[in-house]
Amino acid sequence: MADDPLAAKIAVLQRAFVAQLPERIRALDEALAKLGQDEETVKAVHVIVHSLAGAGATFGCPEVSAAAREMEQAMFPGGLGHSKFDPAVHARLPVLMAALKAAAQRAVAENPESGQP
Amino acid sequence: MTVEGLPVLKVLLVEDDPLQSAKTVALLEHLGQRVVLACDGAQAIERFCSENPDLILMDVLLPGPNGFETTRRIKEIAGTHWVPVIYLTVLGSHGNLVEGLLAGGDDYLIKPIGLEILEAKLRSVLRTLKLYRALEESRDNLESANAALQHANRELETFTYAVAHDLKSPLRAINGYSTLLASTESSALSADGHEYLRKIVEGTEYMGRLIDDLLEYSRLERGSMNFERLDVARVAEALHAEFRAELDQRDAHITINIASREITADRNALTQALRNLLSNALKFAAAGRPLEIEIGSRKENACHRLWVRDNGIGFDMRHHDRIFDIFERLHRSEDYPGTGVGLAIVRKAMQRMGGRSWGSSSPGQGAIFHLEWPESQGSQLQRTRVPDENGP
Repeated sequence: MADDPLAAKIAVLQRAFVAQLPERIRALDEALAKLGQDEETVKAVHVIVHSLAGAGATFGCPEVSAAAREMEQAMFPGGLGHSKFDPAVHARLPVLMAALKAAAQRAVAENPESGQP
Repeated sequence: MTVEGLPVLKVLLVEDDPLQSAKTVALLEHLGQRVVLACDGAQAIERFCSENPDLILMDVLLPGPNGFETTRRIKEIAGTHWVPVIYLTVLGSHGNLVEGLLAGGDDYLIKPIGLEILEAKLRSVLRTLKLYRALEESRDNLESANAALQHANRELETFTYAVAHDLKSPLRAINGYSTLLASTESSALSADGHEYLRKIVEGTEYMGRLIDDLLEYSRLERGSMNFERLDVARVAEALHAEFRAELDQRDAHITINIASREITADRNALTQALRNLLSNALKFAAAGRPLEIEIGSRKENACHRLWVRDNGIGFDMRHHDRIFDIFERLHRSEDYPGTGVGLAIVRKAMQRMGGRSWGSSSPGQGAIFHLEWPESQGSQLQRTRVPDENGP
């Protein structure tokens, strides 16, 4: 690893992402609690969920990415350019969130060194 | 470090997630690229304007304006200058990318972005960028050459006009004094002297006609076109009256066959073109048969079309293009006098009216010359009745 500076850099970023996962999940929980129909709160949720989907894929946590993507697609069927929340999905949110939390916990458990700075 | 065959580009990376941004920066720097960062749409637009990047990697969901909207704005600012935008997205969002590509994006990369795919994509973009820049350089060179050519052309037109205009004055003096000499010093001149003076006067008259034709050609080239509604029958009748003496002298007959009277045209350019065609019809009349001339008009394919037909000596179609060139003549001036500018004026008049002119003939079988220009020329004129030239 030490011979490959790029791989070393990416490994550091990967550990940082896993270390940030609990905080990102907590931020999503908070944003969901504030979720209304206004553009601001809807967009805030969309940005966090979308970011989890992208970063999960980027940093070797495919389960986190898949769970976040499922949640994003359910909440925002209009897709990337449109943060329009489908209120009918409210009932499904606890299940989707639970799946995302479980995936995040598994990722943290599989990367015990991620807690190290 | 630099990667073989991969030039250093300035890449604007638009990504709101700091960790994902850091990884893409690491990959780009590993490939020897220079990276400028923006964390939202507004900052991306600002950095695009201040940093002039070669390439933009754009996350789609951003705080503020999203990646598609940001791309649309950047492309508007860039105008005709092409800066490729590659979206960074996650698997499963392809449907939306249609919208992104329609917004002006050029391609996309799916996360997780690996080193190999990033390098391949950069090489692909570079190939297109290289071609585009060569095209841009050719376009710039062409525009400069075109501007220089237009400038030279304007100077040449001004020069031609000035020379032709200034030549008239000494020519008048030569002609006047030669005529005066022939009349006041008649007895002092030998027969040869009279003959020399006659040739001088003939020469000055020919030169005068040549200068008039060149001035007319130059005026058509330099002057602005003023399209107006005209009654083509009245234009033809006015020319008929102008040529009446010559027509009577040659026992020639004109038929005016106008299917469509109302036209929009530049009066001077059209009259000049028709005048030269009529003059040619008279000049190239066939010996031994009365001259018949027809002036006709009709609308065809959203164009005004006029023609002048005669039963004169005609011409060989092999020479068709040549006869419209300035100073080109098919016959010796001793047989058919003229300056060789007439049909060049006809062609120039039609070119200036956005149209064209052409002829059709065979030797001994007469000729027909057509004038055609789009009806849309002068279409901004209001639909009003053609004014009666004889008054209300």
